[in-house]
Amino acid sequence: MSATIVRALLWLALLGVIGAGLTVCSGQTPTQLPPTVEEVAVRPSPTRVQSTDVGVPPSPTPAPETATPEPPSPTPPPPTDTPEPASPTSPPPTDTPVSPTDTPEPEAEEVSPTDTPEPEPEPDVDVASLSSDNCIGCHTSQETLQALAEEKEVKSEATSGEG
Amino acid sequence: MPPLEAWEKVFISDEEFAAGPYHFQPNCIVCHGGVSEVTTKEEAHVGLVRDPSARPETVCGTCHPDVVETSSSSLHFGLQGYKTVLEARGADFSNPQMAQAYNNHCTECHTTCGQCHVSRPTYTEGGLLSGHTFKKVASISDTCLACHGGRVGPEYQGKNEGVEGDVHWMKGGMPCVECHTVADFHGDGEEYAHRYDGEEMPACLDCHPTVSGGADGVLQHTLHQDKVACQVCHSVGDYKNCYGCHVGTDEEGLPYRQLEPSELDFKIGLNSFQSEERPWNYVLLRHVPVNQDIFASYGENLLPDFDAEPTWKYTTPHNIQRDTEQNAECNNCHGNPELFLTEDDVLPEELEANQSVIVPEPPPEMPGQ
Repeated sequence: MSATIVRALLWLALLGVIGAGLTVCSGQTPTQLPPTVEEVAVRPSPTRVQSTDVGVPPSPTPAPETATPEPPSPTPPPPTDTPEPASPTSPPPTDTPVSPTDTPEPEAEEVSPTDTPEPEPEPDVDVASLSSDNCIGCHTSQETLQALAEEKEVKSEATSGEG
Repeated sequence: MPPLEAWEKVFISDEEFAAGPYHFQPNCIVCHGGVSEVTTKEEAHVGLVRDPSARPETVCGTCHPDVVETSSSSLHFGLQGYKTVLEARGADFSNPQMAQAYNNHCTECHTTCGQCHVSRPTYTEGGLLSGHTFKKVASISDTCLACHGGRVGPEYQGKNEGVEGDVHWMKGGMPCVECHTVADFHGDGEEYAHRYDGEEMPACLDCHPTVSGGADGVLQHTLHQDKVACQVCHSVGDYKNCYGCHVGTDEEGLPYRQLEPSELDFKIGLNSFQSEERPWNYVLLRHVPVNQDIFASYGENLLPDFDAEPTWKYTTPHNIQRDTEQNAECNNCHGNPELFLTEDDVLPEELEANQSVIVPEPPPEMPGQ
């Protein structure tokens, strides 16, 4: 082995020792890990933009049904501020020093709260934009109501006296 | 008040619809729920909320936040008066039997924003007042007297046989809201134990200030002002007293109540809760519809401290006149045991409960009068 090769090996060993020492002193992994479960839980979800559409004032006479791009859900889910659950695959943070011989982890992209991928929000139905034509059509028609309205028994026949 | 037909309760004429645009905005479903664009009544009514104002903060409060803010303190809404008196009689609302009895019967009198301003109260089986038009000032006949038409209504309008009505109505034509302020109905944010808690609402002296201290020159006002409530001298005659109320549920589980016929009577008694606002020694009393076994069908001894509260309660009959039989002569009251609640007037099983209001000895006859 030539003297040149021996010197080169010595230099490499020296550089490795220095690198390992620096890593141990910092106490940190070289790359930023994803946020913890707790961090994700308090992360504000993106503000949902509420529709500013105001329903057209209903006319006294029932208007013909208008075509709507998507039929509204009868029970739209209420807007929620429930935090998104953390990904179960997120590795826990670690303070374990990385040995200089460990295989370096791939460079992770810095993750900001707003960068977390979230499931697509469900189609949000603006209740204010729903049509009341059916309600108005029936409740302004005496004939229809006489045919459909039912009296629900709420009082007992055993009731007697004043009051 | 006879109930409306089922269809009448929910009918809105085209004219009424056109006349009341604000409360139709932005659509029916925002307040009432239900399902849009379906073809049957059953589908359309899934999730329907009959009275959205039962949760006023979510509907009424969006435009009337100041009113809704105090409504939880309203006795109409919260029924605190019932809770107060039942608790005083030992009711334990954590007892399921008592809770069931309360929910089946006492809450009948609970009312909401909508039950005064857009429909009849549920107590009278509901029904829209005038289409879906919201009335700023509630109707005396369809709203106030729908619930208060058993005792106060007939007194005020002179419908108790042989007893003149109230001068404020018979001569003045004054609806309820002439004397009772909005805070009386909506609450003012203060928590009141019952309707006679705190200041008089309304107080006669608010409109008749010269009576105070005899400034009007009437000697009797000077002599009696802090000793005798105004109604004692100015209630024009008998008023209704109710006895023997029993409640329960029938074979189908529907709540019922059975009340013995009311009796017209007039009784002066002791003021059992004198206060700075109500300093009088003598007030009028009315027997209220309660008895020891009123909840017996729900469980035994649900009011273990029944005797802690009188069954003859302080009352303010709404049959006021300037000239009455009892104020015509001093000795129409003085020395006249007929007008006072004595032990002889009280049912034996209620003697203990009424000790604080029974008059042991009526004021003596005034010699030379």
